[in-house]
Amino acid sequence: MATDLVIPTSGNAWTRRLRLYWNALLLRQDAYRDVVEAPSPRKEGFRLLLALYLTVGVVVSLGLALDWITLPRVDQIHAGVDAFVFDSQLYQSWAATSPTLALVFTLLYRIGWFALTLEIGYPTARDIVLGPISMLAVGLFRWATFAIFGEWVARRLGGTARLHAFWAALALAAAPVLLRMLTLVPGLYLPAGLIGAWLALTSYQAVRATYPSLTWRQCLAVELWMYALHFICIFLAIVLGVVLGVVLYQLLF
Amino acid sequence: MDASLRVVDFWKFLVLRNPSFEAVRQAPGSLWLSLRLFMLAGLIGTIGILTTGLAEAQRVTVADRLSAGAVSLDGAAENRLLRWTPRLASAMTIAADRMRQAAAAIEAVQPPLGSAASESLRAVGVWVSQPLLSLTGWLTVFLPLLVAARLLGGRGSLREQVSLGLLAFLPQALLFLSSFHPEPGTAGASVAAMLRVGAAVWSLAIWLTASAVANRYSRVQAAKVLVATIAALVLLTAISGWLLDLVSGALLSVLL
Repeated sequence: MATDLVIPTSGNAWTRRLRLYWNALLLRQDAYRDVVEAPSPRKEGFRLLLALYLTVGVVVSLGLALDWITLPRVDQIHAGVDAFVFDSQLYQSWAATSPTLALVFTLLYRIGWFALTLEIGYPTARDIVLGPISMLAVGLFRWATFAIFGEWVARRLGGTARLHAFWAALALAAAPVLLRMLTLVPGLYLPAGLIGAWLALTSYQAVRATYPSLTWRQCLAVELWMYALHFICIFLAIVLGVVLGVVLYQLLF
Repeated sequence: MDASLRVVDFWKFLVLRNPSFEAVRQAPGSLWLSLRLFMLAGLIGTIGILTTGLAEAQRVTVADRLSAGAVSLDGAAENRLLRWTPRLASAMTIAADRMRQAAAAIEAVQPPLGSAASESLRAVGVWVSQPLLSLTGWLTVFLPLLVAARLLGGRGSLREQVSLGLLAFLPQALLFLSSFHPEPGTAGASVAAMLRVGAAVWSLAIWLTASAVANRYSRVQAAKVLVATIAALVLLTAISGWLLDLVSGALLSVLL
């Protein structure tokens, strides 16, 4: 077949890792073979993720910059609509007769604008600079929680592999993040569900490649538990954060 | 055996040639071919979105709405009933003027790259998004089908199933006419409706072949997998709806 691919063995480390990601994106099981056998799987996993997120991050930043130059300045539109709303007779009479009502309206109006800005996806300079860093942080967090829970569940179900081998395979399973490079095209909408669904497929392959002794049902169970525990972990972190905030507030004030 | 399938060989899948499906199953890099065919079919099927996007100025949506609002207000102010309330009519006319001013101010705001170039680029972006949206929807249906196929005796690997399953999207290119949103009641709308039905039936036929080849079972077994998955999804939806109703009812009775 003309589209057949070859597992990379040559080229510098960066391009080799990106080619591995490409093969993993195309659901090639053999892409995981080398990384699972890496002498230091966690280090290899980290290097893989760094190569992925730095490359994708640069492209995403470029895409955001292109978005910025192809969208009308939202702050200027904001100023025009502000003038229309707040200089209107209706608002002026509200402000004079019922300041509370005017305040509530202003608050809702600001929230509405904020939501609209998010909906349009209008990028700011801060997004362009910090976007890749936040992507890397979120990716590393997901990698760590998935790897910890996945390895634990897989071993409980009887999976046998070198310690932490799953970390390297799971780092390679982040391959669908490559799809974010498509956002280089201004106006392109990349559904989060697409990356999520493809991640589910690559994560399953990572489990299969690391624990060949497990059946497909056990691999599926590992994946489902991994996801469930990850989300429980996030939920607990939010709850604990709120509780901690309330306790601190009570103590301080 | 088809040893070197390329994008131009798409018709081999449309005419349900078994050796072509078999070749996709066996080639390790076949998913790339399937993805390109999927994108191509998606782009053809939504070509109307590109032409509409290039023709319409998406940038002035807010301004357009304000202008339309101003016209409505003006129309309402001239209504006979409002002649008896001149102050209200006058306020509405003033508001309409202000809306026009705001619309003009918004329209004056140009993207740094320029209006025409920006809109054209973004129209292309919106068009390219369409197959990606379809792929997301496709995968949502596809993932339960993968599990059902394995549970009911399928032996296809993940790559084999996905590579072959994506090919079932090819007939969706026939939706190109629907993407132009023909006026209801016209011949165009009738043809578009027929093409939609044709595309659905054809996709189903390709999926049955693809699933049979990927999982090494018969088309009848593939049909059973499909029916079982749909039944399971309907049942799951009904149960989750019932549970949601139960929980929300209990919560409301506690809160109210």
